[in-house]
Amino acid sequence: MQITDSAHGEVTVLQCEGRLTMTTARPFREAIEARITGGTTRLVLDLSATEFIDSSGLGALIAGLKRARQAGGDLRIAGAGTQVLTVLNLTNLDRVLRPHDSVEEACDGW
Amino acid sequence: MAGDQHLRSGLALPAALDEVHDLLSEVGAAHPDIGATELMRLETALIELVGNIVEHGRPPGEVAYTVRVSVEPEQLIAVLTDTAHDLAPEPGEEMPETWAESGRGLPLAGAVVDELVHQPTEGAAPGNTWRLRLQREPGGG
Repeated sequence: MQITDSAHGEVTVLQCEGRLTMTTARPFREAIEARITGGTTRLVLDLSATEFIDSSGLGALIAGLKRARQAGGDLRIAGAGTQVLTVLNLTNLDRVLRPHDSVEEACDGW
Repeated sequence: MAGDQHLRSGLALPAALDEVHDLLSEVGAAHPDIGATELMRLETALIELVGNIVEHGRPPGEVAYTVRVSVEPEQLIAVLTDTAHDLAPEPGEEMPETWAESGRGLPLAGAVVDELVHQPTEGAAPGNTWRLRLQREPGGG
């Protein structure tokens, strides 16, 4: 998975390209952790180029969300495709990781 | 034998996940009438189950797996077998609480397909057999 940062005001958008599965979940989790440790606690994950997610990837998202909130920030998701939305819904994680349609919407109202 | 079959097999190493993704792409290319949602659901379940074998199967790095996907007019059938020495956990577990960071694999695999059945492989050799069934939507779902 390729992660690309961009700044949207006080929010950092991470574009997550590729598959977020067992083989990529750990480096993904570490990448989120590194940004929060570095003081970037308002994060939006742009999942529009995330092709596929599995339960390991979901675990990494939840870990990132918890970590961001512990640091006084938040982690939001935007632009998720059908597979990611289906998996979030079936695992009830859309209750805490509310999918935003667009990065612009997710960056609004912090 | 019913339906057109597609197969992948090998050692349950992390690269096996790519093989499963490739398998589902192959099935989709050979059967453009299968709905994208149906393929996505089967792919999601198989990735969870194969990932489980890669992560937990013993002895590590030595467990073999085989996935067969059969395309039938009204349903998709997948059969996954492994040679893991340990008995896999039973499907049907409940989804863990919201803030849990693990434990969603098998409940998710069961939730995306219409039927998921696990059996220890019959005979003296160790292993597990997983049968997955997904009903096809009329006209592709």
